[in-house]
Amino acid sequence: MSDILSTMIFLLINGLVIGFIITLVALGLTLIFGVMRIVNMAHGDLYMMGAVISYFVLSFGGNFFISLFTAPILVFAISYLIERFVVRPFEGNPTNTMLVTLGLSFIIQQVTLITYGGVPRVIPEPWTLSFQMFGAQYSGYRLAVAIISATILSGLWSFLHRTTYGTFIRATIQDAEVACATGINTNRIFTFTFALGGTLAALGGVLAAPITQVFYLMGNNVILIAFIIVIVGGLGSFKGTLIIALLLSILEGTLTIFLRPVEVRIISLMVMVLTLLLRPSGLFGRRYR
Amino acid sequence: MVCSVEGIGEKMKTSTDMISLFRVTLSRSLFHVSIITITLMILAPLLPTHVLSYMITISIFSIYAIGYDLLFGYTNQTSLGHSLFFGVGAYGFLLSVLHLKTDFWGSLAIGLFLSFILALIIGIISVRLSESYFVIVTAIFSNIFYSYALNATWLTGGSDGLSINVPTIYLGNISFSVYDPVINFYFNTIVLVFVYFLLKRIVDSPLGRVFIALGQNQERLTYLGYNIYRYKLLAFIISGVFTGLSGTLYCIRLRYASAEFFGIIWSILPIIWCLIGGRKTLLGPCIGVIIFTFFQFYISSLWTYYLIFFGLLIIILFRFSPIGIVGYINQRWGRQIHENSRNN
Amino acid sequence: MKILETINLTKHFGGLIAISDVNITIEKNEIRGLIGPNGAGKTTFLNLITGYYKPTKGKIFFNGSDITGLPPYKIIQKGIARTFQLTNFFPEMTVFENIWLGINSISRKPWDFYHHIGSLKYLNDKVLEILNLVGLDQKKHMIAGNLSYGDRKLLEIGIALSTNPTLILLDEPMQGVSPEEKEKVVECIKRISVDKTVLIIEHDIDVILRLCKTITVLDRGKVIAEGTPNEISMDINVQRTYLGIE
Repeated sequence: MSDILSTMIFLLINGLVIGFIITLVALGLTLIFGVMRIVNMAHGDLYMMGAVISYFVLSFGGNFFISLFTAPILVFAISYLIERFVVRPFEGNPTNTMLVTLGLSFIIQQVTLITYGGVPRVIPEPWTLSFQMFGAQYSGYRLAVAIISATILSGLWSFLHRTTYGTFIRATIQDAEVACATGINTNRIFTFTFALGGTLAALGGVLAAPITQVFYLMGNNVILIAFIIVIVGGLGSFKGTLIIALLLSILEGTLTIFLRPVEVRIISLMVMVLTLLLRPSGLFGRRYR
Repeated sequence: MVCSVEGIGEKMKTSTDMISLFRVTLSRSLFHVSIITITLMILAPLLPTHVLSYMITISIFSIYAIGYDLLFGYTNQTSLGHSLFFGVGAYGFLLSVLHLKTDFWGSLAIGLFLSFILALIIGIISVRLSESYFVIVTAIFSNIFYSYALNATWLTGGSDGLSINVPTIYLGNISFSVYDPVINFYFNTIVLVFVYFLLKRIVDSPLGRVFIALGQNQERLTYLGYNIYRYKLLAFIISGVFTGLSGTLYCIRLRYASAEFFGIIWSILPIIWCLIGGRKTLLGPCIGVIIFTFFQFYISSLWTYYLIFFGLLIIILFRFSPIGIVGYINQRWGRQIHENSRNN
Repeated sequence: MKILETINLTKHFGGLIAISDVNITIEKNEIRGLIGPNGAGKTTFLNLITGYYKPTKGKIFFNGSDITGLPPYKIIQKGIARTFQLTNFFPEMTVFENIWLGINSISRKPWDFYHHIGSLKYLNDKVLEILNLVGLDQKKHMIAGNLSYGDRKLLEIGIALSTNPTLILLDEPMQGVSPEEKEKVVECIKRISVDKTVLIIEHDIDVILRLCKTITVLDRGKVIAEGTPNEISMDINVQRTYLGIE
């Protein structure tokens, strides 16, 4: 296989793997919006918390699997508290929730800066296995990330479509008022969904930590592309988020071959602008108020 | 009939006839503002430089704040992308002076023009979007500009920024140099007063009423035959241009611009100013600027992690005081009930 | 002459058929009543006429021109206005301003940013005219949010009048109005229908019978009867729908 082709495939697959991680984050975002009609601007920082907790777990002698379990649980609890005390007073007012969660984002970032520090740190990959494929070396860990993400995604799907509670959540997405009227405790669903969304982001963070560096601002970059994905796909639409996440990761993965990261982002921005001009609610979105 | 009574003598209690109300407010504020301005202008040469410096910053931020409030307080559109116009205004001026070698007025005009073009483009894309999308998309735009500015060090100097020599201002044969703090102060104050009266004109005009109605019930306006997107766009562009103006003035004051001007902080500051001082009032944002800039100087010098304070402030502001100081005063003294900010 | 004409008007929402092949023609200066049980499609019909929904099939003609698919603001500019069931106005502005907005909308320069609103006499006079017509001129200073419920209904009608429409669509103007205030609203409607065409959706049969010469009955998205009040009250289909008589 020619060098260029194998480099391209290599970058493409890497892009896809990162795409999986971003899909987790974006799905959390869209889930929260779908159910609660609010946007969590601190979502990227929940992702970051997953990575930072992972670092701490490792530095206390734990291993990757332990952090894969502890980080989400911790972030679930933290997200629960956030929803309960910071977000809930503003439910019903999308702009206010967004700005308040933005304020929260500052706080979380600064606290992390104080506790974890401002130095980006590298976490070693848990396995040093690598494969030969298409003429290039592939890190076994990255493939594992793809597998783990796919597992989480199908677990999420099963939860939403096969369990009772998941059905309640889907009902609330369709119409929160009616769901409430049928006896579903929508308040609890809101809090749970918010926490679930945060957990997905944190899982993404744990998986991403060995690939990218752990840095208190790492959430910003991810949240940017996650927002672009959900805007293009349609806020609140699962299908939209999944498909667009996939497509955009492939696109960005391909473009990184020729262009610098900033320029790649600008291209994604163009895609977003084009979508908005043609379909202001996103490709798969419904008209929300 | 009440509506044809003119003059300052009209007493208002809880009745608020739109017409007499505005006649009174205009005359009264014209008086107050003129007195304050003239006093300041007379005192200026006597004041120490750092005080003048502080007041110049206040005027520049006030221009930003009042312009932003037209969008945020009046038409209720929350944009997180205005730092983009701030940066473009600043760099428009700076790069014109640096590369195009234009004179003071020319560079100023270029800065304004660029802000206008960008406000037009981004407005057309964003203004038709739903509430949440609007906030996110404007944030995305300014974020991308920020990333680009940080990277394109050849153009912007990145985070460190670029410095320039500000050309002298020529008015006919007379020249002024902004390096003289008193001149700089006069210049900025005159611009501020001009902006204030221009916006007051707009707010008191039919267009202003439409803006206010836009902030309260967009849907009904559609059913009154208004093409609301045009009006929302207009508000967006006006606020964008004024933001650009403040960016240019800021660059003039500092003789410097950096990519940091595009950062999200500069999009959040106007929100804080408007919330503290009072939305949907013209004086409110200015008061917010004065109070907050004061605190900002203190806190940021005391504490490196002052951004936590920003975050907490936003949360507290939204939770407990949605109408701001001027709004509170209005409620108490009931005069300008009309210009009251929204209650949560 | 025909003011409003719908031809085979149909609206589907996914699988739900809200309106099906509705043909309604309203003549100039008519006061038409539109009645039917809840869910019959009356408000959907209104929404289709005013452009909120686009029809799945069929056409709408207003004053001879095809308005099918036009956005609401254009339709209003052509001369249709509506009131809302759940009062929909500008709660923090005065009664005067609420009416003023519509008047400004159809004026020469609605985006005038130069003149002080107090100085635009020709606009302000028109506002007072309408306030007089609906009976709210004593309350023009009041903040709209503080109005009593009956007065809000009057304001709704006033706002609809402010765009100088040829056709006014009243969506349940009597809903929730106390018996004392009902007379005020009925008198108001009588006054405004002197030179305008009116379509009233109502559940209050009393009012419909008093005001309307022709009544159209909708049920499950279809027109099941149309005629004078007498004819309607005798109509077997109407009785079946409303009273469940077989």
